Amino acid sequence: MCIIIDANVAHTFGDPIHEDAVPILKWLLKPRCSAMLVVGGSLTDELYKSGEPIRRLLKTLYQAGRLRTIKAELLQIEQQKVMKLLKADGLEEKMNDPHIIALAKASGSRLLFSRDHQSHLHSVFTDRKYLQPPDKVYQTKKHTRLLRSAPKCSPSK
Amino acid sequence: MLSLYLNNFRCFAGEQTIPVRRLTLLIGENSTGKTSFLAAARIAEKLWTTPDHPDFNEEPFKLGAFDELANYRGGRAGRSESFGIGATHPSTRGKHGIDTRTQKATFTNTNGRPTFNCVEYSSENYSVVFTRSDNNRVAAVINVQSPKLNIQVKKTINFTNDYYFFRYAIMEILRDPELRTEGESHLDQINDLLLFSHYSEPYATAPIRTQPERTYEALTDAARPQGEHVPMILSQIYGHKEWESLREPLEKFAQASGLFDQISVKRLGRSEGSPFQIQVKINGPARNLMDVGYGVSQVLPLIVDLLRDTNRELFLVQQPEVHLHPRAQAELGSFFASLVKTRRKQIIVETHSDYLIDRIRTCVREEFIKSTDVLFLYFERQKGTILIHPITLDVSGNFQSVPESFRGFFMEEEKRNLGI
Repeated sequence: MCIIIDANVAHTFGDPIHEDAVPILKWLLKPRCSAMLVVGGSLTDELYKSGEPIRRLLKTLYQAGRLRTIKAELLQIEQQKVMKLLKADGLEEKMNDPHIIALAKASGSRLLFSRDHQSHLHSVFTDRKYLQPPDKVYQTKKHTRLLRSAPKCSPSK
Repeated sequence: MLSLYLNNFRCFAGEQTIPVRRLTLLIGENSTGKTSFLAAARIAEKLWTTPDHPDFNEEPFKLGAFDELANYRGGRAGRSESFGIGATHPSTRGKHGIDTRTQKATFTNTNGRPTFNCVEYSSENYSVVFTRSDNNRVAAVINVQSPKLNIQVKKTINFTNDYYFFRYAIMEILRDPELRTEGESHLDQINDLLLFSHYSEPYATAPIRTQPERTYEALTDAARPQGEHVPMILSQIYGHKEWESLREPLEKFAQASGLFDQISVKRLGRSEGSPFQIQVKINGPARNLMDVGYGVSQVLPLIVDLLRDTNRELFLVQQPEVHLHPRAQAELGSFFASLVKTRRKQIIVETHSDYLIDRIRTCVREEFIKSTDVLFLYFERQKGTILIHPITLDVSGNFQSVPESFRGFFMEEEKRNLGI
């Protein structure tokens, strides 16, 4: 069971914690649970720059073995494949988050917490052409049920 | 050592074979058996190095008498009547194609003391089992897997529980005329399997190292778990070739840790037996070891012993992080990683330091050491016994196969901090 947190919602984990982030925090920090957060490449940097609360969360999860870091080299390969598909669909200029799709492909994560409605991220994420099976997008606390059905990350090497 | 075998030893109920790697970190809450594990590792290793009756109360592990050594389950199960310790080693020096060797010893209670009851030596194709019977005679059975062969050695030997008993027993058994006829084609392999003294003595450190002194007398240099010998060692090698090979990596670690820049020995007389002082430089003139932070004197024995070019291969280290700033704790992680990478050492470390653990994971992620050289053993108390969970790292330094209970306290604490 793993999730990707988009940098555009990192502030919701700050002080005060936004109500939409609370179910995710509770889920990630639940003892005796295999929930994981996936990070890698530029998303890691973006999250670390998003303030102390999320940095602390990342450290807690890292030390508990619940932060899955995907190597930059692997992400680069996946991102190039994504860029090819985006180019074929004419979305190359409009979609500025190919690294997030690459992260989902590399990690096996199929759940994203994001509110980025502007850049086609959500439509691409839920498109089978890009991700098989397609991803689901958590946007508000109304989507808490998605946490329960989130698939596990693919095994790492 | 490739794995450690425990059977009803102290808090570990039942039989367990736990893998270990070049760098193995023991983690978990207090009183979960990490120190008992280190003690067992030393005993198992010494079964190979000295076929002597093991000392269960050798410093720094004071384990007690049989009642403290055998697992106690409480209730009807009560205390186990025996306990076992053993280890598997790679047999790189074997002459006859044996890949791994395992030695397991089972102990029973004799007047409150643990005594050998059964000792088993095995490789992939051979096993030799010595068993002590009620009349105190020891008999041996030899099993060959392929081609299938089972030899009950007819000659039995009176058990003496003495120094080198098993070496003597082995020699007697190998002389058995029937074995020479029936198992002749296997004699070389059996002999190879039973050969002792293939491994160097393990070295175990105490959790607290000795207090520094302003002036040292030139006394003993025999290795002690609390590191009392280290100032003497430094004095002996100071100015010699060995000093130069030790000084560079020692000062490199100390500088990276923020502990000191340079170290030297100041003799208070002309002869080599004169009293001396250990001095370190930190941003200025040399200062006595007594006059700098306590962390320096606590970590110095460990670093010196690990760096010295001795024949020791296995190091058992208890909480090396004590009295160290997080910067130095993290640097210890790099130091252990570099030893594993560059020297023929195996290190088993009991630690509570997240900084040390995180740095080792970083060393794997940065490809400084291989993920396959590192293993974490997570000790968990569960239903009256202790479970040991091996946790590996992937090439990115991510934990793999983490049990769901892992670091539960920290998760709960974070939730409380966040008020959710």
